[in-house]
Amino acid sequence: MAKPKPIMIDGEYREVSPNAKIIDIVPKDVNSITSYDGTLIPKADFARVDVPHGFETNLSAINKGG
Amino acid sequence: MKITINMSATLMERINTHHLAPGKRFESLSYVWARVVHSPTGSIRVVIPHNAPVLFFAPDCFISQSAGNVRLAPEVLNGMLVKFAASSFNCLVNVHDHWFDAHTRFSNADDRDDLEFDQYLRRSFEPMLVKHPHIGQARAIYNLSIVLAQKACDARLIDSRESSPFQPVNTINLIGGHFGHLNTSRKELQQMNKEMFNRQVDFIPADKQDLLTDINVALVGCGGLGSILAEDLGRAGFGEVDLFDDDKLELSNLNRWQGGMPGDVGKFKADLLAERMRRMFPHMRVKAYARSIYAERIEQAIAFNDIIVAGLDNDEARFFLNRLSLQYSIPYFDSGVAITGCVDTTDFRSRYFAVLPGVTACTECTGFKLYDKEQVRDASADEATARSRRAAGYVMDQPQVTSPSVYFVNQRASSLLVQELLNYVCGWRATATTILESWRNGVFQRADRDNFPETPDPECPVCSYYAGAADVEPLPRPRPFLKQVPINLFSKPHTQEVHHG
Repeated sequence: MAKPKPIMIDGEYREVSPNAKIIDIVPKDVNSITSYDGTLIPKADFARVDVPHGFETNLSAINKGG
Repeated sequence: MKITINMSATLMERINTHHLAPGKRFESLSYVWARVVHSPTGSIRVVIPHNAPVLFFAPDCFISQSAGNVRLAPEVLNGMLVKFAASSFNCLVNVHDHWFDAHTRFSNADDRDDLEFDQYLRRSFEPMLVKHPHIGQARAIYNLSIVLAQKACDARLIDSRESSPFQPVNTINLIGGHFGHLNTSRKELQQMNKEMFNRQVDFIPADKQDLLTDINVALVGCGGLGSILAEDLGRAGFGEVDLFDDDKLELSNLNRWQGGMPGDVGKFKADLLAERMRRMFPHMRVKAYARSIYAERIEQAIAFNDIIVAGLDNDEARFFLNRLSLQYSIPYFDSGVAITGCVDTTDFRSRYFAVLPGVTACTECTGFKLYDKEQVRDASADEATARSRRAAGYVMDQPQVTSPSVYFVNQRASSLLVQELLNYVCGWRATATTILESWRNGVFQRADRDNFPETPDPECPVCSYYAGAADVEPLPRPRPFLKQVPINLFSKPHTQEVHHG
């Protein structure tokens, strides 16, 4: 089993599932959070997952099929 | 009349959890609001997206609730109907359960209850809307009933004005991470088909091979890539394909158009492909539409398929199909290629993506950039808006250039797509949402529901507002095809198109 991930929310230490996203952890009425480096994360990003590391994300030029 | 329900698997799971909870020993009743669309041939499709309103009732909403019977309090039912009247939905879906059965059919008591409710709708509710339009717009209301059991369900449309008031639902497509398909009228595979597919039986078991014969695929784009995709679909065993393309075959297409011969030049690609498909796969139902996909009737023809597959040459069509996929709850699979560089820097690149409505992000909200969003929005903006956007620097004019294109790269793109499509139906592994293959760099990047479980952005208008809108909202057509007319909910035409082809 994967090890729990340690996190701090408002100074409180917690351990969560290694796959947990922000939406799984914060209460439903929270509309935004500020990360430790001062970045504001809006609610729309709580469920966002990152594109796997190293993957090319701009595929817009690969669009021919005729 | 064929009736199909396109329903979000997540929503079905919520409903099942409510109705069939372990230890529950009483019948429940809930309602879902949905949209019904008609095909020109009289088929009916019921669209129930992931965010469709679902009404679960508290125990005090019922005047009686026992093991085999449930009845809502009249004031609760009327309250629900008034809210429904004010909405833009046109289909009331009542769901109840036979929690004590593994498989089930509607009972005589269900017939009586469904008819009684339908008569109330026809005799009181619909006339009331005509008389009091401030409560809600008058429209034809569809009354759908679903009965759930532990391992199966049954569904039917009810219209007490008809001599046969119950019309059974033929198919329920469950749109989830994999394709779910409940068919009440499935036929056995014919002997010839069994033999034809006996080399794939180890990884496509008989029930999945049967399922493939039931699936209708809309293949949008019958060019170099589409001509290969069509044959791939036929050889895999898909039972029905509708081909959409308004282009004619040119001599310069023959380096990549599968099966193309000099004598075919000048004919519509969709017609040519259909002719070949019918010869190769006599068991397959093939229809050709040699018209623009932006024509309204063509929108309906695409919308009455179970899956959309595209091999396109332009992003405006992808933007259009993404919206169509969400509005009608149809999974959409797309592939494309690019040949870059020259001689000693040449790269052959193939790309695949899939949109599973309500499950994955769509092309508008995914973390991958699949097309230039400013360009496609510009293409469907009215002339004045487009001029302003250009003046403000949002969009740059791009010269039309002839792109390099070749058969063997199209084959790779087709292979990527059809392999993933079969995976989506057969459930071998987590469905891929995006794949990139680059020959020069030896790259194969596959993002799937395990390593990239991206969900729809709650603020994405396509995945939220437009999801399940069906034909209530006009689709984004490029400027030459679009003359906006005032939107009138519940009446069909919102746009007038200039047809060609």
